[in-house]
Order: sequence, then structure tokens, then C-alpha cells
Amino acid sequence: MTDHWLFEAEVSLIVGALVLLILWRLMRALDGRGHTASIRLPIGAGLLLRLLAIVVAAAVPAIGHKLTSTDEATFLATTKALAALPLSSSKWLSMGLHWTEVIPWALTYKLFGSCGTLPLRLEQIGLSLGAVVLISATAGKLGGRRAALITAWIAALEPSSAYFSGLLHQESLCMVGEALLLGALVDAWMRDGDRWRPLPCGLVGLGLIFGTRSYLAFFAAVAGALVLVASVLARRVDPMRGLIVLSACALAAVVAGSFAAPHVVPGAIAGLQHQLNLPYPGANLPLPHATVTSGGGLLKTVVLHSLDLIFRPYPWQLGSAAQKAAVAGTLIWYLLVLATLWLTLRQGLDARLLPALILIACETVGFALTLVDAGEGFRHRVNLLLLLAVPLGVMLERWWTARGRRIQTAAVT
Amino acid sequence: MRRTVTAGALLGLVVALALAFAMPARQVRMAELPARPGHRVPVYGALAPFAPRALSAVTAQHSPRTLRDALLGLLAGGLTAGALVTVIRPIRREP
Repeated sequence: MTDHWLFEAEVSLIVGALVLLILWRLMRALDGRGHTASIRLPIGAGLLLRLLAIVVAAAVPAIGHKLTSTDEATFLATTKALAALPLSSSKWLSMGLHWTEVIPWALTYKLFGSCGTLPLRLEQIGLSLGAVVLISATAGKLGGRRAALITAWIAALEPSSAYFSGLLHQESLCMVGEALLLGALVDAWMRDGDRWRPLPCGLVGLGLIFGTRSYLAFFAAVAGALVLVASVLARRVDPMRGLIVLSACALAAVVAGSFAAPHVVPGAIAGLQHQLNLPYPGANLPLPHATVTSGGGLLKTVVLHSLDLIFRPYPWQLGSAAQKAAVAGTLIWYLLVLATLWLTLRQGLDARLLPALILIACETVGFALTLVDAGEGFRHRVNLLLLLAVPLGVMLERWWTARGRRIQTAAVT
Repeated sequence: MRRTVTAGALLGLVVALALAFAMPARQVRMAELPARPGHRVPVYGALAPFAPRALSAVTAQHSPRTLRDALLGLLAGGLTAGALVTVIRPIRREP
């Protein structure tokens, strides 16, 4: 042991305590609208699971090494380089706009010096649990206290989310952006109180998504526009008819956009093709080659890669220890998707859930377009799972209530 | 609450001071390698926590940062105690 070990432990304790206090304040602040005071237990369990995942990743290099040795090494090197620069340097603004995820880490290194990776991982865990609190507040607004609680349990305990929360990557901050955007869209959809209140929240969310994954911000903005159009349509025509019109228009826009994009934005399409051709270091579950330089190819890539994103990696792909560990995440993902579909068919489409469903659909297309590796898709699914927890929590709450009523009725008769 | 935070801060200070003084090794922060100007010296791996024996004569270990470690220990102890009391106490009070 050296004195540096003591220094790292002290900084980790300080950052961990601050994360705990901020999460607590966030839960209390959102309690009025989203019943978040009842989610202390899932948040606590999620925190323990995420800390355990850090320990497992460090103790079993076969699981932890593959992920931490690729992108994370680049992020960490950038963080150290940025922290060495004065705060007046224009690089801080530039990185804040395009690599927003490194800003909290660089500020930590700036404040404390080189204090290892554990404090940064604790910040990531705090951000991911903050996203869980925000998403639970949104579910609470839609379906009440029990819906918030179910959503929190799903989002906090899902194993792949727990694992990636401790990784120094884009996921945690992007999830905060998504949670803020969805909260704003639900507010705009329900339009209670001040109609402009959701705007700053939505813009901050969109900004965080842009800062972490710029391409995804385009699809998130499209989702926002669709929700706003849908909210106007729902007030002027029959909601079901409005939904059918909107879905048909969105589908037509996807097809027309796919065929127009190679002619309208050829540079962006060439960049996308370059990214899809690029050999991804460490990729061992590559997807079949995709061509996006033609309209038909782009449309085909959207459809096939969306299916790949949802279904791959398959549970029987067990090439390494990391893939074996990922099977649990894949099976739980299948279960959650099937449960959502089953409940939607059983209960019918709930109009309150449209903002979440539209955002999930748009982000699926966004992630699918840039997908080159099934392992990367597995990581991207964490973002979709956070959003999926909202409709699932609300529908499970309805199912639970209906079941309770049935039991009561049966007992009376 | 105030009493717990004070106790936590004092405990953090004591533990930090005890560990700072009892720590068997200091991190190597600077190594001066004897090389003639214009010649490169190959160095493999990290020097910390212990410098290779061949380099020990020219390895400089900075003086222990006891004051920094003690202050951080005070802060870490106080904050941790405050956070735990804030989060745990209301749960216990619930019926």
C-alpha cells in the first residue's frame, strides 16, 4: 500500500457521499409530482448492485477487461489531458459540446488531482440512478405511486444497466438526457400547469443527448416533434384516428427520407457508410455488412439493424466469459419486451404512453443505423430499456390493480 | 445530525492521520534516471509503488502529504456520516 491508496479512498468516499446526498435531494424534490419518496428501496438495491458489478468487473478480468480496454481507455486519456489544461482553455467548451460525458470526470481530476477511476465510476453510478429517479417520477405522474415503484425496480435491477452504469462511457449521462426529455414530453402531452415549463427540461435533455451521442439527438428531436404534433392532433380529432394518421405520416417520412437522404445529404451518408465499414477494435459479434449509400440500402439497414438491435446477441452466442455473463441481460430484455407486448395486446394502447413509445421507436432507428457489432447493440439497449420501463411500469400497475379487483369481487361473490 | 457529522469528521481525521503515518510506502512521484544527454533510457512498467532496486538510489519520493490527507479524511468522514444519517434515519422512523 502507498499513501496514494489513502488519497484515492478519501476522494472516493467524498464523491460517494455527495452522490448519495444529491440522489436523496432529487428524490425529495420530485416527490410532489412523481411519488419518488417510495423508491428509496429500489434505488438502494440498484446502488448495491452497481457497486457489486464494479467489484466483479475488477475481479474477473475476462468480463471487465474487454470493455475497459477499448473505449474507456480513450475516454480516460482524454479526461486526463483535459484536466491538465486551464479552465480558461477553449478545449473545455469544445469537449463540453461534443464529449459531454468527460466533463464531470475532468472536473473531478481538476479538483482533486489524479485520484484513480473509482470516484469517476461512482459519479457514473450516481448519474444512472439519477436517470432511474427521473424516469420513475415520470411513471409516477402517469400511473401513480405503484407504477413509479415498479418502474424503479425494473430500471434499477436490470443487470446490463447495472453493469454499464459503472463503465466510463456515454451511457449514464445519455440516460439522464433521455429521462429529462421523456419527462418534458410527457408534461407537454398531458399539458397540465404551465405549458412552457417542460421546454427548458426538454432542451437540457436534448443537449445532453447531443453532447454524448450527437446522431441520436436528431432522432430524439424527431420524436419530440412527433409527440407535439400528436398532442395537437389528439385534441382536434379522435385520438385513435389521429394516431393512425400520425403513424402513416411517420412511416411515409421514413421511406421518403431513406430515398431522399443519399441525394440531399450525401456527405452525412458517406460518413455513415465509412463508420459502418470501419473495423471495430475488439468486435467479435460483427453484423453482416450494410450498404447505406442508396435509398433501398438505407431502408433495408434501418429495418434489419433494428431487428438486430432487438434480438442480438442471441442467448446461444457464448464465445467468451463476457458473452456468457451477458446472457442474463439478453433473456431479461426478451422478457421485458414480451411482457410489454402482451400487456399492450391485453389492455389496449394507452394514450398516456404514446410519448414513451414514440421516443423508443425513434431511438431504435437511431441506434440501428450506426450499429456495426451486436455487442455494441447490447450496450445501446440499456438506453432503450430505461425508456421501456415507463410503459411497462404503468401497464403492470394497471394489471395489478385489475387483478386485485377481480380477487375482491370473487371473494364478495 | 450535527453531532453525528462532527463524530464522523473526527473519526475520518483520526483514521486518515493514523494511516498517513503508518503507511509503509510513499508513492514514487519522481524518478531521476541517470542518462547522458542525448541518450535514451528504456523504462518498462510503472514505477509505483516501489521503484526497481537499480533505480532506488535515484528515485525521489516526495514528502508525505499528511496535511492534505488529514483534511480530506476530515471532509470524507463528515460527508459520509452526514449522507448516511440523512438517508437512513427517515427510513427507520417510518412506521
